[in-house]
This record gives sequence, C-alpha cells and structure tokens, in this order.
Amino acid sequence: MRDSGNATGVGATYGYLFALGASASYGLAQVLTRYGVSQFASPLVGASISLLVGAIGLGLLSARELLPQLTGAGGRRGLLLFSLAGVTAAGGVVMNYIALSYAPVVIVSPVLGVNPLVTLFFAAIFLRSLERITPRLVFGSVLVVLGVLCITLATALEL
Amino acid sequence: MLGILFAILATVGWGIGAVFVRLGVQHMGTTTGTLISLISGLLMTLVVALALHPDEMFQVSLAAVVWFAIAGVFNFPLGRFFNYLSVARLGVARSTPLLSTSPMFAMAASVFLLGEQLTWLTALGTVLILAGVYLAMSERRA
Repeated sequence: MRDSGNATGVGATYGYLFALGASASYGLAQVLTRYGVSQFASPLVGASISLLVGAIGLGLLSARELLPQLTGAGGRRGLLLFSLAGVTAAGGVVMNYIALSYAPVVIVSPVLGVNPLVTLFFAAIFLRSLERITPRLVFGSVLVVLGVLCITLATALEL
Repeated sequence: MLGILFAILATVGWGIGAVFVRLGVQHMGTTTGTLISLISGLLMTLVVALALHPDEMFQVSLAAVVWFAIAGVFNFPLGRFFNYLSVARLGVARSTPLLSTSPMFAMAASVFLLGEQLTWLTALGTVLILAGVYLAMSERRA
C-alpha cells in the first residue's frame, strides 16, 4: 500500500497546496487552450499535441522508475487503474467537445460545473471503505459549484 | 438534449476517473501513475482526433505545436501530477472542491494576461469558491 489519502497536519497542507497548484495550472492551461483553439487548431488536435508533450516530458523525468514500478508489488493493478483513469479523463474531454458541438456553452457549462458533486457521488458509492464524505465537504463543494457556475456563465454570456 | 447528455457523460467520465486515481495511488507511485494515465489518454484522444480530423492532424502548423505544447506543460506534467499528488494525500472527497476551482484561476489569468473585465458575477463566483474552499480545508479527519 502506498498513500493512504488520509493525511493530516503537514501532509494535508501539502495536499491542499498540490490541489491549488493543480487548479492554477489547469486554469492557465484553459486560457492558453482557449486562445490556441481560436487561432491554430481544433480542440481534439490541440489536446493530442498537449497530451503527447506531457507524456514525453513526464516520461523523460520518470523513465528510471517506470520499470521497477511496473514490475513491483501491485504494479499490474496500478497499471490497470491508472490506464482506466487516463481513458476516462480523455473520454470526458472528448464528450465535452461533442457536447459543445450539439449545444451552446451556456447550456453545457452549467452541466459540466456540477462535476465536483458527481465525483463526490461516485466516491461515496465506490470508495465507501476509503473515504468519509461529510456534510461540510458536500456543502463546500456546493459552494464551489455555484461559484464556478457564476464565473462560467459570466464568461459565456459576457455579463 | 444531446448536448446535455454528452455533458453529463463527460462529468461521469471525470468522476469515475477520480475513483480510479484514488484506487491507483494505493498500488503505484504518483509520477508513474500520471505517466500511464497520460499515455492511455493520449492513445484514446489520438484515435478520436484521427477519426474526426484526419487531414488536420497531418497539417498542423509549427505555431500550433508550440502553443499547445506550452498548454500541455501546464495541463499535464504540472496540473495532472499535482492533482494526483493531492488525491494521494487527501483522498477524493477533500481534494475535489479545491481541484474544481480552476475557472477562478482561468478568470484571474484572463484579467491579468488578456485584459478581460472583472464583473460583479465573476466577483460573486470568486467569493463563493473561496468560501467552499475554506469549508473543505477546515474539514478535520476523524
């Protein structure tokens, strides 16, 4: 077993900083991608280039530990789970683009904005033995969803 | 109706993906896990992109490659790696509210980099997001 996902103290603080760092990186990437899609290439072609560069960059950084990890204890299970994580994440991106081809941003964005609550729902079902979903976390997620809806609608409707 | 259906499928994909990550970090290091998810995601995206935009895939300009490569660095080695690190430490439930705040950072980047205007609705959204993040971060483990 590796990480417990139940860190407290300094470990939790790092976890929160990593989450905010991820969010900031995603936010900046969104702005770059939005401009790139309007100027250079279609979203799926752009996503393919971004994923290829990401895989090459991270592959160069982590090449040494790849084989020991894959052949180590739990390697096969990890390979399967992370492969599925990659496919479902990419599947979500593809569905997002298809959704936008059928409906305007003002319709699609609010549905996508509910994602944190959908994630909590699946965590409550499939991670019952690992995760504790408290009313405080659900309420915090609802506030984040409402805030994201405000920002995405303000951008889409130019309010 | 189809647009809403595919948007729901997108959120289902991302939600189930988070569950796979949570289970995966128990068996494998975050760096290797991120790399594997990028490779499997790349294969799927390439197949769909080649099916839908076969001509464009082989006629991409150098500017497009450079631009999306820069976006890719922020999105994947940084964004996804930090995402998985946070899930490994906090779990899905505690990390999800914070990981969902990217539109707030995108809005801030748009204001500072592209000169877009801050409106009352985006300000209200920012306040709500910060309140939600505070609630999630003040959650104590049992």
